Amino acid sequence: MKKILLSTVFTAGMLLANQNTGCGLGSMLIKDQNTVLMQVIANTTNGTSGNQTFGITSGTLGCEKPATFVMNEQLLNFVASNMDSIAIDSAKGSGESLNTLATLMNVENTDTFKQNVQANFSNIFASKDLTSAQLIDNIASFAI
Amino acid sequence: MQYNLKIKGLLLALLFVSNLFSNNFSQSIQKLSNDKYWHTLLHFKNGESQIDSNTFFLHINGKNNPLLELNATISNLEHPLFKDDNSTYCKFPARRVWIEKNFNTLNIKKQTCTKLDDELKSINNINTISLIFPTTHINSPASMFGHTLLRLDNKNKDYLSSYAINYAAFTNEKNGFVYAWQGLTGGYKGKYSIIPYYKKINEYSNMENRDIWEYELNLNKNEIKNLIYHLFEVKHHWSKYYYFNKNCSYEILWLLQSARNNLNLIEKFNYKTVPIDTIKEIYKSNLISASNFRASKQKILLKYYSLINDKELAMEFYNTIDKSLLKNITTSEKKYILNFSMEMLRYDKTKSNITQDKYLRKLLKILSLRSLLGKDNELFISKPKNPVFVHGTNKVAITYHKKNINLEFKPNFHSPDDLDFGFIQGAYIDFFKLNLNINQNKELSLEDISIFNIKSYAKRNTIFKPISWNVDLGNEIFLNNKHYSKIKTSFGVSYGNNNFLNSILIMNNLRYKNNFYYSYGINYFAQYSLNNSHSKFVVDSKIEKINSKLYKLYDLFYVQNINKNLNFKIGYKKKLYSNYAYLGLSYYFD
Repeated sequence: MKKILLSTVFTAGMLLANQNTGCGLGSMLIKDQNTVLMQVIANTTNGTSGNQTFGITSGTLGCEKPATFVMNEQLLNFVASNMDSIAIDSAKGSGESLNTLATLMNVENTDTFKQNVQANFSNIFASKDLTSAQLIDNIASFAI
Repeated sequence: MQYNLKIKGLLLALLFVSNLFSNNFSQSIQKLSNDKYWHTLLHFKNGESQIDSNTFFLHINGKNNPLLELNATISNLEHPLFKDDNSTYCKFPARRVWIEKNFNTLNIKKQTCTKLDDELKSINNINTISLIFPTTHINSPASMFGHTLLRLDNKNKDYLSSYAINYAAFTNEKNGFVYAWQGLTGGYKGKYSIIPYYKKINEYSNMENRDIWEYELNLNKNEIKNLIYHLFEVKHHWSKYYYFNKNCSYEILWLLQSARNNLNLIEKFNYKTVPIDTIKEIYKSNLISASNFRASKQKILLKYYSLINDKELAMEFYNTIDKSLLKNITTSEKKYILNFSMEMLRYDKTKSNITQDKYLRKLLKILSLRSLLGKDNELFISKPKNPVFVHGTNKVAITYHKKNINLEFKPNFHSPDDLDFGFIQGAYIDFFKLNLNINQNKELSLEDISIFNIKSYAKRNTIFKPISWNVDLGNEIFLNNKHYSKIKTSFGVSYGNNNFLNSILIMNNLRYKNNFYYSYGINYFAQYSLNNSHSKFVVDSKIEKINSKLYKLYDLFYVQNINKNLNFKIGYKKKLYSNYAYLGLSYYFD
């Protein structure tokens, strides 16, 4: 169930929950513009949408599943929601999102993994239309 | 006959003992229904439970009567009406555990709790719980009020994949005014929810550019389990959400209190619950074992920018993504320019300054160049002052001028005449400020009232160009020394550095008394902070055109702190019909 978010802590005006949280790069980085007036008016209540159980997150329902890598709901959700951060950390060969990715993919040697991801960046992020499922597959085949 | 008598006697004796026993039992139920922990589990305060959904109570009068609720809970545990996942045994695990501990003679029917066990399985690697505080949004002082949530830190301290517990109001309302009104008057249902922590990071740090403080709490395994059990029983229920007191930060306190029995947190907050006050209270209760600071994306971007030697080249590269520009520079300069460009691009995307297609093309070019340059140098971003140590949110001030005594009271929060230690310079918000005057004849009169006054004087730099603004709503003395209602707005720009803030704004003022009076003017505001924000000079000067006449108004003052919660102030003020020098003392408390 999609809920419209109350702006979190008065900063934003009305902020829609990502209706089409995407499976690709850039799709999570959309924020409604909000005006000063809205900030002043709507400075009540904290709010957000949320699920009631652990382990399930909204947003990746329409995304395809990785072909080769073992299905893991938490991994899929994480990658779909953090693709841009993963891309940036992959290019740098370090960063929090890459560490988390390593954990969720049960990688044994995190340092080697990070080096591999960076060294194979252009293979892994081969296309701008890359989906989160393809990204997982690419990482699995080039970096693990 | 004799035999019969014996039996009767024995029966009587048994009856007597069992009566005695049941009297004892009901006495102990009576006593335990007043136990603080039982009240915590029911969110019971001031004569009623603060939970508003009926399904939370097992007795029809359970909301107002902890004894009836305890009896009903015990009876449901002993004689279950529903089985397994639907039983009280499974649906109210925190109540059940507490009852089992306190009444060892009960005949509680064990049930199979699949849902609860699943929940425990997915969280059994929780190591610690952290209190999360996203701080002020750089261009939104209203956000300095803040928000708090909890994070369930997993064993490998992999915070991004940890879960967060957030309390929030749910609504589909789109109209800002309705939304604000409902938020103030309990029109929304507040609920706990469980979400991955990365969603919160994306929201606060990446989108809104707020720094985040993460406070690790010293709750032990058993206390963490208490909290999870209690969360399990309250998460499907709701309470009326009140912006000022029963808000996100308040409801988080119930959870902490369910974790550790002897905490007194909820009791401290009645009429207002300011998130920073709850953090201070949690700190005072010795719950915080470590603090971690997570810088916003905006801060990281500015840090990369500051490390670049040739800033023009960096901007040119960002605009063109022409890799030949990076030919003759050092590897570390290249890394800084590329890292800066990534963050800049992300920022432009969140602001919709760039199309999706252009974003993707630029991103992949920048990233593939960066991937050839190896490891990053560690980025050092200095930690701001820990908000745990800021001044109290309540203020009482006394000022003396020309044999007049001025008294000021405000319950919230931070304004230019308070010191900025631990706050972001230029972000000010006051609620319900009251100013009274006692003149030389000892007559008390109202000086002014501010319902709210928000100032956002965010400094502009080469990258970010925020608008500075001020909205002031209330009542003040105006023409002919009469009281007028006011709505004042101003817009402008601010510049400065770490210690210096310099703002110029265009004012539009609307006042009302029998008729509307419109006026406009210019406001120049400057402040210079000294000694690590332990003192400051402020100039607040205005030229206002009222009824085709120009008025020059100003307030110059110096504030020096004596301790964290006590300031000394000296200044000179020019008002519409008077001007005077003044001396004052301000006291802050939690």
